[in-house]
Amino acid sequence: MDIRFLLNGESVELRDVAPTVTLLDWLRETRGLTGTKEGCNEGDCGACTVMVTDAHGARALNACILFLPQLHGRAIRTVEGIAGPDGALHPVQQAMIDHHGSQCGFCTPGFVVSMAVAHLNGDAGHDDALAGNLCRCTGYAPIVRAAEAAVGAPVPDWMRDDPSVLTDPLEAEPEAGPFAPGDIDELARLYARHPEATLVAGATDVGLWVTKGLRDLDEVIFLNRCADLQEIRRADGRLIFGAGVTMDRVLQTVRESHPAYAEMIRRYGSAQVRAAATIGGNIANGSPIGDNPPALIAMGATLRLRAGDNIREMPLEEFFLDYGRQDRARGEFVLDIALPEAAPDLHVYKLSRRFDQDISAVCGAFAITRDKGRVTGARIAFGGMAGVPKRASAVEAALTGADWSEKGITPALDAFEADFHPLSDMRASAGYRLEAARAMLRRVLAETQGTATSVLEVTP
Amino acid sequence: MSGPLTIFDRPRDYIGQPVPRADTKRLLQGRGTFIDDIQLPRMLHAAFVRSSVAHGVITGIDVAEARALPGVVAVYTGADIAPHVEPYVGVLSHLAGLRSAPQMPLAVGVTRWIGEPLAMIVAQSRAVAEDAAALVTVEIDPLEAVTDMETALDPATPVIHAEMDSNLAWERTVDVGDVDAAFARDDVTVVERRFRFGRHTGVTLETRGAVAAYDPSEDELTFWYSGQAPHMMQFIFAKHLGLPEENVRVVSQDVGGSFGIKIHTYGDEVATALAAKLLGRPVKFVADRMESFLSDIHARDHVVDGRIAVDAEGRVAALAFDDITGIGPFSMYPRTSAIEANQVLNLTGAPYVIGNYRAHAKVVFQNKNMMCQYRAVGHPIAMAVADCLLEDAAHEIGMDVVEIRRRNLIPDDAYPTQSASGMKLDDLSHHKSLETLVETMDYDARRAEHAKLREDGIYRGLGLISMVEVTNPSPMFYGIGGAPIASQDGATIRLDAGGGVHVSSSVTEQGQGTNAILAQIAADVFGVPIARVKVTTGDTRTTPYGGGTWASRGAGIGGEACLQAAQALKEQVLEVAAVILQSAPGKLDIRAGAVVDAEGGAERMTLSDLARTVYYRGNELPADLKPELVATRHYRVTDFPFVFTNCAMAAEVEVDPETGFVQVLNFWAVEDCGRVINPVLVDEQVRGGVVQGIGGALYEECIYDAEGQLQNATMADYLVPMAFEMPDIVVKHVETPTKTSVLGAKGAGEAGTGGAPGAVMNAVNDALRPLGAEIHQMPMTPERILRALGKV
Repeated sequence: MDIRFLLNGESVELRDVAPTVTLLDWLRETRGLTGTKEGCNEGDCGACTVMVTDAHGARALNACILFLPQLHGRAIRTVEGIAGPDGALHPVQQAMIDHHGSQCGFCTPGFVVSMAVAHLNGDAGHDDALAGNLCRCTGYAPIVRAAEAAVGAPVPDWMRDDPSVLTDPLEAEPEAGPFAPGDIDELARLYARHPEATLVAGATDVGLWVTKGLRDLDEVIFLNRCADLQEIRRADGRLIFGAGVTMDRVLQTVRESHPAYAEMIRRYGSAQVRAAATIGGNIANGSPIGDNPPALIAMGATLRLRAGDNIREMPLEEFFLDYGRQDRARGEFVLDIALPEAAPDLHVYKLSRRFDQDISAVCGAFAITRDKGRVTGARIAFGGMAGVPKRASAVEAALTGADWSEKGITPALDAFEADFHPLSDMRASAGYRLEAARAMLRRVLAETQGTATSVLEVTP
Repeated sequence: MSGPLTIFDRPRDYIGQPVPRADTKRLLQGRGTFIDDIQLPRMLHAAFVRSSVAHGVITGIDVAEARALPGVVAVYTGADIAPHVEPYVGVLSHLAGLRSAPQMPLAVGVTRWIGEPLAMIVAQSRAVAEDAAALVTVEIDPLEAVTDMETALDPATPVIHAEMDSNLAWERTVDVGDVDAAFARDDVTVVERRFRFGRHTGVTLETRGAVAAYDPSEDELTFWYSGQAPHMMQFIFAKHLGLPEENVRVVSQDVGGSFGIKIHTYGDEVATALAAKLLGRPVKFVADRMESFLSDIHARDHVVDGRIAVDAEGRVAALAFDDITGIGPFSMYPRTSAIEANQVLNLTGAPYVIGNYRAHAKVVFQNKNMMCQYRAVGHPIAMAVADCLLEDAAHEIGMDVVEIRRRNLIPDDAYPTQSASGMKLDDLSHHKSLETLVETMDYDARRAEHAKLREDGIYRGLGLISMVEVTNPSPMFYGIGGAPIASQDGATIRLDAGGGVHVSSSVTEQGQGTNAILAQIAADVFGVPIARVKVTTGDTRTTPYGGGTWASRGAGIGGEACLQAAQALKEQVLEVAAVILQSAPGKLDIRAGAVVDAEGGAERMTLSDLARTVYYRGNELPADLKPELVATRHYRVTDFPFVFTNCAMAAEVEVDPETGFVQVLNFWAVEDCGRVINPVLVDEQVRGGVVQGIGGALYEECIYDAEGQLQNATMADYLVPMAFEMPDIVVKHVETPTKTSVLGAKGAGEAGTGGAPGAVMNAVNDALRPLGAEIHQMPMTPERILRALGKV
């Protein structure tokens, strides 16, 4: 595959790129840009963070789980390109010096890039912007202070990359992969012909098959050139996300209209992961602990799948058949997902051992409608409680028609054991998961009664 | 003040000032040189086949397929390298009775932990080496794995080393006063607790790694490594690979975090050096993250049964505990894995006046990765045991936790004195630090606020800790026991022809800012602008001999050597200046890079003029003048085994009793590390240390299954603290300079890690107490909190 991209402002053209060469390896081993560091090679530490600019703006991404073909048509800026061409420090670099935000310096390049991206985007939510960068020396406070200090400094002009100057190389569709279809129709044709191919969107999961599982991928179809798969639409009172919409764009879209879902996404991976991971990938992956499905199921989301020219639609919960098994035929791919335009009364709780960037022990979502103190309907779904994201049917049944009160929800609390027989693993025991799930329902009740339940709400 | 005048009797530009680190600009632009950034001509890459069985007899290793893979240059098994390596044993003579078995870089005959290197592939690239490693077939007859340290000494448990009668590595008891009589008194309240401290590890952002190059024409090995003690490694490679010591050069450039992880002898690194020697080509090995989790030393892993007796006035009548700790299958070489238990015995209760003290520790072998010295060695256990027992006892007798400390802390005017365990203590300020803490955190107001919030079902707690930290160790730490570990350090300072100054020091830089502190000291003491000072550390070929940076010794020991060398150089330069200027050394001074009149400060000549005269135009100097524009001084602590510091800390937490989630809302630390050379660097050492301590208290744990398999060897599963949950820690100082040096600096790098866990545990228990629950196991995970509450 031939690709073009901008690297620190310079145009780079690569021919016959292998599908699973990561940007990090290419930068360090081929290009000799060793400022970008490998800390974990699994997208958890952020030491390899680079800035990637495309039509959707500039974002921080983990170079360790980014395959070169995903970069076609985009602009990359590494730590070597954050200071100006004349050597002038970027405001975040100067602030890091002033606040002693770098000790050993190994995580530093990744932090500098994350900070520079947030600075460019005028994003002053520093804790969120830095939740994907791990520092072991400083304890973070001086880094956050440096980020705060740089707010308001003008964005240096060299930071504004414009990848539209790149022109597509004239390239015939290759006989054998890797493939990079330009739109959904082409994707549908290709996937029908190569149903065994691995579809790569953000590679936040497939990346690990390669870097940690040391797997070779035979046939690969990259989805990043399918612009029409990345569309966000509104139709018939539904909000529709194309499968290729990244989670950071989902977050931006639902921040006001679906506040509880948005608050969960804020803790979904990290800024780097959200900027790569797609909503369709998270669903298609079928992980029992994926954080999107519980909220989407509770909201009554519907999924559309396409194979060739055939499109079928189903309620999202029906897609998850069993552990590791989804209702997806050979050559069929996730097309889009539709949810209500707003979900002001949804409650979503992501419970993990660590607040930031941690895999959920339990993720629960609750859409409970009430009238005059009685529950009129309930859609409740959990991740981490079964082999698939699963609705709590017995709990829903016990709630429906019940008094919305501590006494009234008691039968529903008892019903959890009818719905779920969770696993005990390193993350949490079955007992803890059940107790936490019940606590979540009690919390919904408390919140609707106006009790402050989050430490964030009562912290002075 | 008596004695000769020093730098502290006149104005200073840098010492005590928040001078920015010169290194930072480089690191911020990605221009650091870490191990994986080094590329040498003809360099090969190593990967290791590691054991997937915790305990077993190796019956066969088939490397034929691996060897045949194109790009593979060499494959070694334990048997292949055995003839080339002298085995090493991690014992020290002053830890009487400590035993371990001989170790080799790659297992020979028996494998004893999952992750132990069994075979090494050397290839044209790391990718080829990894592919080849996957082609190696290892046959192992499994033996029963010893994983539970609490049953490791049971007669029914298999013995890991056939030549030993049990899995006991070491045992020691300290028994002072009459402990039994004190506990038997009828006027005391006795509190007993069982503490569990989980295994955790350092998680340096840069994994361990090395590049080894061997030049057969000179029989010289150069070893670049990400580490803390170059001279120690120089000795080890010389001894165990059979090289003349002077033919081994060890270099540490930028080190991406170490925290004690990178100060030990690792088989994969020794094998890398050996492969370079056998092949005559450079070999690089950089551990991947999983290898790091499996083979970087782990730490803690203690179960402690402790009890305390206090009288009605809150005075401690006795403190006693039994500690058991599991160290993996070997004692780590050369520092040994018994030091942590020894520290627990020596340090528990050391801030307090305790007449009756009994401490007993057992160190046992097990089939898990090795345990050894990580940041704040032993301190988190020692401090948590004493201060959690003390706070629990205070609640039992209805006394405030600050008040009980006031009644038991060693008075600030009682020094020199010694701890119950016999540690010599001087220049400490527990009371002043505690009172500063209470004022800084607004203790009474927070207590009142918590009481009010509890009525609304919000459970917050405060926990304190009063602690000591071991810093600036003397030869009594390691050297006395036969380890090749220097406690002295040297500094060489040279005036260059351009008027700049070059410092080379045997302490090392891993991000603490050692190089910055050395520059500050040299600039102030010698008298040049700091921009004119260049610092070299981390190279056995070019620096004086010394120990490196560990045990919070860089500033206190390396800094003092630098101070003395700068003073000596200044005197030498002024002697030369006095001759050139026909003056007297006493009438001249060096300020801002020039020789000036001591009175009035008028410039007489620049340092560059002086140096160029000496270096280029010696003909202008009298024949009997033998100018020396370079000075070297070494320094070691002689009066004390260690120079202790003290710190008072407090944590404020909120516990969610429904999910068990703990949020640290605030943290305060009042540190007395003697003279503060750079307040920014010291504050950030304290903050970073506290965050690692909070990590151990709340998140970090190496989770093993019963077969000895590490369950969470990824950063997704092994949780370290991240930005959001960390409070912005308030740091204050009390400065009681140590009298052991002119500089007066003690260490500050480990107090936070040593004290924060106990403070957080106390705070969590304070929050849980109204709910009738308590927890004494770290990490205090949400699930364990719910267990403590009886909900799970």
